[in-house]
Amino acid sequence: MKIFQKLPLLNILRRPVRSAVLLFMVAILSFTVFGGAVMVSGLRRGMASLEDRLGADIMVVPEEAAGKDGLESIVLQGNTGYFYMDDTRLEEILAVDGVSQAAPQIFLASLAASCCSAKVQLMGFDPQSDFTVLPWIRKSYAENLKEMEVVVGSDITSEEGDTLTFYDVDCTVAAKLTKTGTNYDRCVFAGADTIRVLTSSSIGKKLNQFSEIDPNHVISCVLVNTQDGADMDKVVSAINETVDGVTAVRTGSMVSGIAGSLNGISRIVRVMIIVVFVLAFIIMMIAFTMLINERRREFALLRVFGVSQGSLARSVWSEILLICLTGALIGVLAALLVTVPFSGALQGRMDMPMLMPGIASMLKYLLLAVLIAAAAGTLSSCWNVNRVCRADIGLALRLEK
Amino acid sequence: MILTAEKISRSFPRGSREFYALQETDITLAGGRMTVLQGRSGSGKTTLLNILAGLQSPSSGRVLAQMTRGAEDGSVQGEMAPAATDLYSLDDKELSRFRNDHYGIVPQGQSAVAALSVLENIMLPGTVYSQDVNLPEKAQALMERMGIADLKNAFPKELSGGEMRRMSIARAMIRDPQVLFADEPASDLDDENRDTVFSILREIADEGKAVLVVTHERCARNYADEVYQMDAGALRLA
Repeated sequence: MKIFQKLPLLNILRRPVRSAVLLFMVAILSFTVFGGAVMVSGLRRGMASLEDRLGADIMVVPEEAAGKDGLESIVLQGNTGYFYMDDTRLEEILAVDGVSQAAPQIFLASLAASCCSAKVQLMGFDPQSDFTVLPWIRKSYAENLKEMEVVVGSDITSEEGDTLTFYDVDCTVAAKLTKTGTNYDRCVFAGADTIRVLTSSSIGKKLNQFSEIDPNHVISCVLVNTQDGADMDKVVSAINETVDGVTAVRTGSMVSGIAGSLNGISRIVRVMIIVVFVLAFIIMMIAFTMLINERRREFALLRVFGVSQGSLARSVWSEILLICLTGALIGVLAALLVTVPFSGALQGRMDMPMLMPGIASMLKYLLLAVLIAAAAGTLSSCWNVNRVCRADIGLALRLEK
Repeated sequence: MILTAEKISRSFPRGSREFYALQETDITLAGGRMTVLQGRSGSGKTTLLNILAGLQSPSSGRVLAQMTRGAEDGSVQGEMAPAATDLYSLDDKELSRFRNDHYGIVPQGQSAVAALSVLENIMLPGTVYSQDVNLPEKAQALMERMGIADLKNAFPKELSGGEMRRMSIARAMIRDPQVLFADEPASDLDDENRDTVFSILREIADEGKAVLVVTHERCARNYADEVYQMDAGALRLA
């Protein structure tokens, strides 16, 4: 490549301190844009995934399990826990007007003790009536789960064929589920019969808080779908009024808190991106003005050698765009290094589901970050570039002796 | 090439009045001759050089470049081409190309691209448009002629004033120009470096180039074919 064509690159490489400062400014901007977009997208996907996983219009739990310390604690905060009600509640719920489907689930938490492989949340479902867990399991495992077979969430370290022990009962891992970005990724799922065996064992070892229950006749919650056209609020009220000792909640209200937080976070990220853009724009404008002013004599010299206004503008723009593109890629890379490996930690910190965007979305955000960085660079310097390229060469040489 | 300025002047507004940095002037530069332009600071010497070099448009008049036939293909001597080029009738692109093809210019003061080495600085004008395959050899030969061959990988901030001027002259010569303009090429130099610079400029004129030197140095007269004196924008033969 000819020296004149290489000049923008050489100016960057041979003035490392100045280039590093400019690259840092652009990188901060693209880090914020890309990292913010990925985080909000991850939270939105996690939220959609959670809604998908809840997969029912209404949840019915024992009265004492309603609220933060019960179901929401397990589903939203990723805590382990369990609670029970008599399984006759299922029939009562099914009898309520407007209910079209009702599927029970049975919970159990294993312990971080010698009887168990790990402390995890165990969730049992009834294969005959389930309409939330099975469709998800079917994506990873087409067979029917046999007794003492379990499927594990994507964050559980076991693999297919491994043996997991709960309350000294061995279970075989039949499959591993696809990632949801929710706390379900840290759960173990099994058929109701398997969970009842584990619950019996926990009671037998006096390791279950509910020592009086009959594991064969209890359930933890009932997931309900309403009939088409039914008023969900009326169905919730009817369940709460007619079924003793339970609390019915719309699943929408469970996630509405998350949705509210998510909107709050989205707003904060948007404001942060605007603030960083404005700050970066101002700092870049000052930096590029200094850069161009400092080199006015050099630009005048290039004109003396026969570089036209257009060629000079292209050369200066190339340098600015090279800085912006390189800085943007550094910022995106840094954001990737923070968001991807630490998405689990972010999820835990925020108590919110998070599912990282796919490659296509990542590329879209990368493009967005690069375009915004390039726009900031060009907009912040266009006046100066235009001024220096159109300057009277003779006057520029005199002023900058 | 014969470069002729016809009735050129340059004025600037100063308050409500027009200030004439250069009064109506005629001058001709011809190949093989070294012309020295002297005068006090602010007398209009650099303005005249800039106008002749296509760097600053005149307020009136025109600058005509009459090519020799040989000059169009790179040699210096030859028959006169029938038409002269009016520099300031060219658009920026054409005038820039003209400067690159036909002029070598040694600007006043520090005149290097800081990010380029001495060799790269010298080669730079030769790479703005098409690149001559022999450019590195030409640059090497010029550096040897200027006595700066051992500095080819040095950067401008490492050079002394004299070395910087010699680098500027080498760079101005890299395109084998028809006309060489040098603005204060010996200012701030010691006697030895000053004599070296003027000797080199004299040699260049002897090779057939037109050389215009703007300088305060009285000793430049010893090397000149013509000496002009500039006083308050008015030019006269000394």
